[in-house]
Amino acid sequence: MNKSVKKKTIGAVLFIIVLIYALISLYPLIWVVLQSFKTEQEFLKSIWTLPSSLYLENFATAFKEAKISVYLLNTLKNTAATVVVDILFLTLAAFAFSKLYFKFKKAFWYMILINMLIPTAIILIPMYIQVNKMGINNTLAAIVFPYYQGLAPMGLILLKNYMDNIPNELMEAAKIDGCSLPRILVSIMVPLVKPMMVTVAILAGMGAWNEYLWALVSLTDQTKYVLSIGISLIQSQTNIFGYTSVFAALTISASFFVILYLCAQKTFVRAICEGAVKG
Amino acid sequence: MKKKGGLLHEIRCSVPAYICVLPTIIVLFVFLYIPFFNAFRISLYNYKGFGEMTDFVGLANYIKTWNDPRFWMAWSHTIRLIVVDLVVSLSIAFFFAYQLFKGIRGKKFFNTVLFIPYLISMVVVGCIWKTIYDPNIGPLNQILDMVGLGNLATAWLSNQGTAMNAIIVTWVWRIIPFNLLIMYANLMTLPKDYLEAAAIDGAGTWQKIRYIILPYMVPTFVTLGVLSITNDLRCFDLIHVMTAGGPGGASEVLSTYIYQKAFAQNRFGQSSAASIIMMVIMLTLTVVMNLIKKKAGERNE
Repeated sequence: MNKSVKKKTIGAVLFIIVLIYALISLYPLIWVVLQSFKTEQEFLKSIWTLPSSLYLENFATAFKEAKISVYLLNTLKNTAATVVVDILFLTLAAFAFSKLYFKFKKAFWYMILINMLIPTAIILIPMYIQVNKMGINNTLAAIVFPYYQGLAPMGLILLKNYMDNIPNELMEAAKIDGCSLPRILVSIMVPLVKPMMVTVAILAGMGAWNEYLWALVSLTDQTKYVLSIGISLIQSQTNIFGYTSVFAALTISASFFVILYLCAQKTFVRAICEGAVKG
Repeated sequence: MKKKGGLLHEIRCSVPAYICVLPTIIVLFVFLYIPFFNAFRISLYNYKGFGEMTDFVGLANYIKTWNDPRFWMAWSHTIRLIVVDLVVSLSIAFFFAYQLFKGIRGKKFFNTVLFIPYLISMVVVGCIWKTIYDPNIGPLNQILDMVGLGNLATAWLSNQGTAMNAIIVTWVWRIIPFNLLIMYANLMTLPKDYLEAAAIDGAGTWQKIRYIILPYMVPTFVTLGVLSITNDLRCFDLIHVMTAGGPGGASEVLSTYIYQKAFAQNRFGQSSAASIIMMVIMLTLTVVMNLIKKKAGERNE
């Protein structure tokens, strides 16, 4: 009897601890979202009250005057291009490493994986100078390829390991039936590897969407700015846009992956676990 | 087929594979290998970032970096971040992962929402927490006031004594959900009969954790430890947004130091030298960590 009471108390205490942790985790985010629906006066009067009405002007300011719409579009474009290049190049490369015979395979493999040992900081300056010399600064190529370079090793490992589990006999049989290599890749491999391609795409998408350092260094044309730089620029201009509009801008930039995650939680969780454990 | 045609034949057979690998190799050549070798060259010059490199200074940039107290300050901050990350964030994450694994009311809800902070980029997290720490409109000082700790209130990010710790708190806040998720996923693979057998033998909660769960999770802890260290060493976004390494270098870490040297002070040579010294130290660490990882792996098998 006594024991079960004790057990219940411990259970309740633990539940409260988890609840407090959830509050600490989420309240800062909820607070920002709430403030973004207030008028500036309302916010300055008290930071704790709920918004009195659904005031949407802040979002309009964030989108138009603070140019979030431009940054959002640029980010979408860069991310989409990075994901496409990443998936295309890596599927090809992983196919070669997993299923094709070639001379100097090991050497090529290490040539790509060595990337993981080189910190970004080291190539930042020479890459910046080189991009300027090539005259491609502020172009899509100067964003996508550096991103791809950073993302390649993990994606390659994930895709190659996944393809290794697909029996070779499948390919042999197709070959005997007169199937050409490109067709084997497109109509046999790709459908089988799709789950892992989704994982790699999510990881690449999150990487490209959130990237800050290279964008900060290489983008000098403000019309090409991405969300990560745009938002830190807006944050430093509260005197122009007002606090609540900055909160609206933060809400917009924070919500993209949260919404995707809530829609496809299982896929996201799997992708992040695989990226952490196998990558 | 293998030995008959010699090298030329083998290479001819490899053409399809080479075509597949070529795009990746070209990108890496232009955006990794060439910049990487140029980093060494730049580090030997006094270079301002534009024009031709003419002012060859040999190893002077390395010596300057080595003798710069700010460089070592950046190291000490980075190491502090790593230590807190490993000790605090991994243990808190384990505590909550275990609670979720054991089962708790609203488990499904917690499982979903506790992960959300990790989905928000470091830049946005930095902006949000900069507001939280703000001395004028920030909630933190107001909360302290409300609970009667108003005398603790300070300008968290512009006070030399608190800036780095305030950043570390934010960093841990964002990274716990990730560690928690991975640990929880690992716990879910723990065979149920292990714990049942232990329960039959009369093992208590502590004994179960100490003798079954923790040993089972060693490989995950090692993976997360290595990932944490790698991420901590690269930490840039959060600090650049929140304090830019200030005030007076009080929250400078390696990557902000390298960035500031190049893009705020135009000392590209010295910045490259610093990044190369950093890489050498990191490579040494990586080798050591991999040895530990291997050892842990062997012990577990």
